[in-house]
Amino acid sequence: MSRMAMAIDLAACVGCAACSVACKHENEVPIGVNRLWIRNTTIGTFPNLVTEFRPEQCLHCENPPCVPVCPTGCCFVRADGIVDIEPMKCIGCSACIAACPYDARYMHPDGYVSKCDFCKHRVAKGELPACVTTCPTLCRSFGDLDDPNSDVSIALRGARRVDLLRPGLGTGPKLYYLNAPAKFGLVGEEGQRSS
Amino acid sequence: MMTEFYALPNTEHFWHWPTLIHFFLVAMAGGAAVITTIALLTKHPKVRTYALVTMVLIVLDLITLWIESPARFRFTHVWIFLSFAPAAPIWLGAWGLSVSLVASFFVWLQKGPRALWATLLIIGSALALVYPGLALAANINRPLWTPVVLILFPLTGMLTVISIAHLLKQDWAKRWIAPLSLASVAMVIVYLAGLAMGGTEARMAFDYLMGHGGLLFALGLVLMAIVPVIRRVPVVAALVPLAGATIIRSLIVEVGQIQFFGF
Amino acid sequence: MKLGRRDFIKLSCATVGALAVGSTAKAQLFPGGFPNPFRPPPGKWFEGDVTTSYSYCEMCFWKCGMKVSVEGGKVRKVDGYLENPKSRGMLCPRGQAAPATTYDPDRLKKPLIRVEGSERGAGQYREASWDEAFDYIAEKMFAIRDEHGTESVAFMGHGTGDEWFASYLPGAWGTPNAAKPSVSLCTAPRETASVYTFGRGIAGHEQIDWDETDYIVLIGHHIGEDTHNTQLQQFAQALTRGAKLVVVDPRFSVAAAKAKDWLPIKPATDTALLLAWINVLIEEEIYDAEYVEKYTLGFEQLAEHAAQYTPEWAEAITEIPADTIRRIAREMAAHAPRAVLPVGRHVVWYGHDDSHRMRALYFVNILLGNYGMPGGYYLCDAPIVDTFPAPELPLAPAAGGCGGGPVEVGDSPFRPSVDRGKFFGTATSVQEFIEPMITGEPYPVKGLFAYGVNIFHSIPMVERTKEALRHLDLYVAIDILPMEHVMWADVILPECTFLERHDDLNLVAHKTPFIQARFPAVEPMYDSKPAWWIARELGIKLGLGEYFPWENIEEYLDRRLSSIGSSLEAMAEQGTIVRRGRPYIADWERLNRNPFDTPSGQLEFYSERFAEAGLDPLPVFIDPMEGPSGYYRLLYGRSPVHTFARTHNNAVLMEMDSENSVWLNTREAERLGVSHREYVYLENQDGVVEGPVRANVTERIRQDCVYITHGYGHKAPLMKLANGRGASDTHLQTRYDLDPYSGGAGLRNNWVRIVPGAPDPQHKSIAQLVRERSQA
Repeated sequence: MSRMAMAIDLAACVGCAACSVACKHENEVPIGVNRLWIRNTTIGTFPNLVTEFRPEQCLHCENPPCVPVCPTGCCFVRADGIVDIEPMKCIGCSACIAACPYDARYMHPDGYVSKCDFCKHRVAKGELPACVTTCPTLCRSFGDLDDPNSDVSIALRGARRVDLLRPGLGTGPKLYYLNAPAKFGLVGEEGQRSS
Repeated sequence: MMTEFYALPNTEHFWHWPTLIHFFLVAMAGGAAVITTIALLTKHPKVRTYALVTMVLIVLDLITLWIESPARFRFTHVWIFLSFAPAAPIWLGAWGLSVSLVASFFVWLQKGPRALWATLLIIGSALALVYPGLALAANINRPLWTPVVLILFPLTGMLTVISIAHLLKQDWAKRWIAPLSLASVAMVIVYLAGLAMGGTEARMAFDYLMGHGGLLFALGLVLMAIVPVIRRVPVVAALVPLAGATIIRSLIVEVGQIQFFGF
Repeated sequence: MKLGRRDFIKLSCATVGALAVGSTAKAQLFPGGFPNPFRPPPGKWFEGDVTTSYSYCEMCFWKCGMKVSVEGGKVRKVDGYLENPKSRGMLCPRGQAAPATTYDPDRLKKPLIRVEGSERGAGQYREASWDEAFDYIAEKMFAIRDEHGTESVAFMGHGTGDEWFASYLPGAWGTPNAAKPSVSLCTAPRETASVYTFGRGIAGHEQIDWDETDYIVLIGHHIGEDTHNTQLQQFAQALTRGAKLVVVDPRFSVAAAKAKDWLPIKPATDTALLLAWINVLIEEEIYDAEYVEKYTLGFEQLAEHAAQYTPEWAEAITEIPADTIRRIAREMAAHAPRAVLPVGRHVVWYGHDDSHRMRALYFVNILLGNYGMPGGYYLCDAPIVDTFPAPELPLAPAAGGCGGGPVEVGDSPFRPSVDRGKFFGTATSVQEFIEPMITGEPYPVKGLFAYGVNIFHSIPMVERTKEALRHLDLYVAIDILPMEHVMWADVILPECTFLERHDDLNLVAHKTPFIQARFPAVEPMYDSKPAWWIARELGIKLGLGEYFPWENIEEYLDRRLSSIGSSLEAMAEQGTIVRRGRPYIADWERLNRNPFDTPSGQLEFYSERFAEAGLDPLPVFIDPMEGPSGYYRLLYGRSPVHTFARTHNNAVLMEMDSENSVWLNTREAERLGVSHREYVYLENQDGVVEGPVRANVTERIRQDCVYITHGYGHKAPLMKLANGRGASDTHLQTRYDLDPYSGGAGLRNNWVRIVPGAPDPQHKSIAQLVRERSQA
């Protein structure tokens, strides 16, 4: 058993979108939908500002809300913790899209739901996901949470702070945001709006 | 707070107008199944007619579902019946409709053990009636799909089908319209109050709903509320609550596809 | 963490070579096209037979080494590779999107000749064969030569192929009028200032020793928005390592968001800040006295000169508190020599001020004792590879390069270039070629080649450029896409994209100098051809065949590589050859060599050569021009996903960032009644209007300036994704200020006002446009 996970160091990320473009080509993601995007948010008033650059994608939750709502079993969690899709079982009902709190899923024009799968085909060969490999700021770490020597475990231990997206929903994301630039953590979470 | 994106998250609506038709048809189909069940249990003389209507509605609904599916030319739908996903509302709904279809068929044929068909219909019709609300309320991330829709949708579903029954001059239907309408109105008020008096996110959702079809929503509410006043006008008394219920249901499905992630 | 990741990458490189996974067997129950309900979704490219080849990137001009993956005859993916010192295994968004440029259906497909009698710019063309196109060009060029002389044909070029079109062919033909916008519209002041201070140019790859530095001060340097790959990697790693960052910028840039101190300086006053830092370092005696004593000339004159530039003086000009100026200076000194003020790339900001600013910047670095020291500026030279044996060109190329110093023209039988005498430096100045096309002074320019340079999105005063084009006897455009300026040409020659071609070797001055090669991953699409082929075939038509004695590029490259004991075959297996560098002064002293090629052999604070030419021997602050009231100074910069105006028809990159917006301070927006994301027009001081463009109402910019990203606002209907989206800064640059030292064109002396109430242009989504293109 393993639990594949990713950590993104927001102190290093500049939001350049290299990861997003790499993903687009690696996974042949159609124009119009995305597996990976960058959300840049600024808070404060001139000249006291904080800008957070935050790549977002499927978080491969430990308690993924998208999986139980799938009527056909096409959405499932692999033994290594990657939340995956079997396109040939998908009826396109979009229940999983509705259930995802992170807007990570989209309907592929070929009629099945798709999303980030941590580049499982690369992981199978011992490679890193395309977004991790190309990132010029080295802000991404990937690996097995159960292995204390994996990149992601080391990055998590070394982080000044670790944040989760929408922790209130209890989804248990396995994509961790490290070293958020704002004192209170990730911007745009409930309770910090319209600041 | 100012947000910019490189590439966009997948925030577009995932359910489109055919889904609204499905939500209308499934209300009718589920409701018809419930009526067939009651007719069967009370040995109503028209039970065969109701069973036939139920079958027609379920088949129509399934055709709609098939047409709107982006996967309609892959025979993947069979996987619904090859899998076991009791936590998936759509799986429950699919089984509910299928069981109701089969049971109705035998009721119409008047073949086989009545008790079995009755049992299957009780379970199947209940699932078919409840499942649309369940499919919405299951998404705790979408603030307009609160647990109240679990009651609101079956109520308005029954209101829809009974209005139609009234339109088709079924005597027993008339007396249910006003109570169902008023119960629906009450649940809509509970629904709105829950949003307006809820937390930050619920209040944002309330504002969002009001900003995206608030007037239409109010119209739907008024249409259901005036039912007791107009109940003596035959055709209108059926059409008004039908319209009201359909408007409210469609708006909740359509506008409710929002979530406030990153707002 | 880094190490583990590296191991991962190594593993991935090892497996790429052996990536011959069997093609997915696709069940065909109903062969012959009958809709098969059991058909699985199409197989992924990485499940097929994937082959890889080496190249270096051309999506911007940082030129990272890349590996290109091909499956089913199509380029599917590009990646960096670890052995390459530029990509180091990673690529930026633009590089990653390279396949989308190759497969852009709007590409130029065949040579085109403008229909006789039609207006330039009317876009009426007929298809022609390459032979016919070359004959047409040669005939016109001979006519120009016979009437006006060879010098009356000008060449402009940008990109790897500009070696052929802005250096080699002009040299063979005999015209000094060859220029690259990457000089006078980009780097000229820093190169001139560098050559006259250090006796060395700044390399194309700015030689900052990021890996060793502890304190970084960026002056309007947009790292993060400018995604020069290696620089971004090293910058991010330095921050992760704990290096401190100070950013001086009127705008809260991406880099500023990472800084411990953001100094929102008043635009056009950077030189005053730098002079004040020189003042503090000297007055407080916190400069590196030993280094200054050992390696510099003219310190006394500088000290005397800088005494007037107190922090209080600077505060009044820059609006940065004197205390802050002092504090930062002390912090820099405390971290010296591992404190650095990196030189930016695009430094033609205010013209009259630019070379002063660059020299002042270098002086602060020298006072910190960091030039040629770990954590400062390292020293680098390009590796030497012999040229192909060929007769010497009649005229030495004079265009200079982005990273190279000015080229001395020397004695020649040819007339000097038309910009000679307008400024001190010796590289050519592209914008100064335009006026002679109209006036015929100092002599007529009647022919023009534009290779890969977008003359409507780089050279200011676009209307003047169009007027100049109308005066020409011959205008040839060599490009990939039907850019607006391309559709003005008499002859359009379609070049293939870099993934479809060989190019010359790329010799990179770097901490570890290296040589990288480009191999075609796929055959050229349509009737497009590589630059080397176009230049050679045209050269032969022009009777210059002796200068192109190679049969093909393979022979050319193999011969050049043989001079360093390598071969084309070896390079195909290797991609990059890395050499050892001499990055620090100590490395040179060990060999008893002096790295500083100045007349004095020292780093020169005081420049005798400037003094002799009647210029300021020491940097001074010149009051910036003020704009008309109600107008904002127009600043511009980069989107991380776009390069100049070149990538705005790339579907993937356009989906990332599909239109620019004008950054406007929140309080100014309130005053003007402009709401966030509303469409507005921009009108400049000369009444030129751009837009509609969205307003980005933000706290991230000062109130006296506005900002847009460069490269949008294409007016090229054949570029379906780029056309009409956003606003063009270049079109709003109807004036510029010539730098008397370098010939650079200061572009930030333009002002705009915001005109609210522009109609929403109702742009279609990029996805919609892509669908329409694929159906057409």
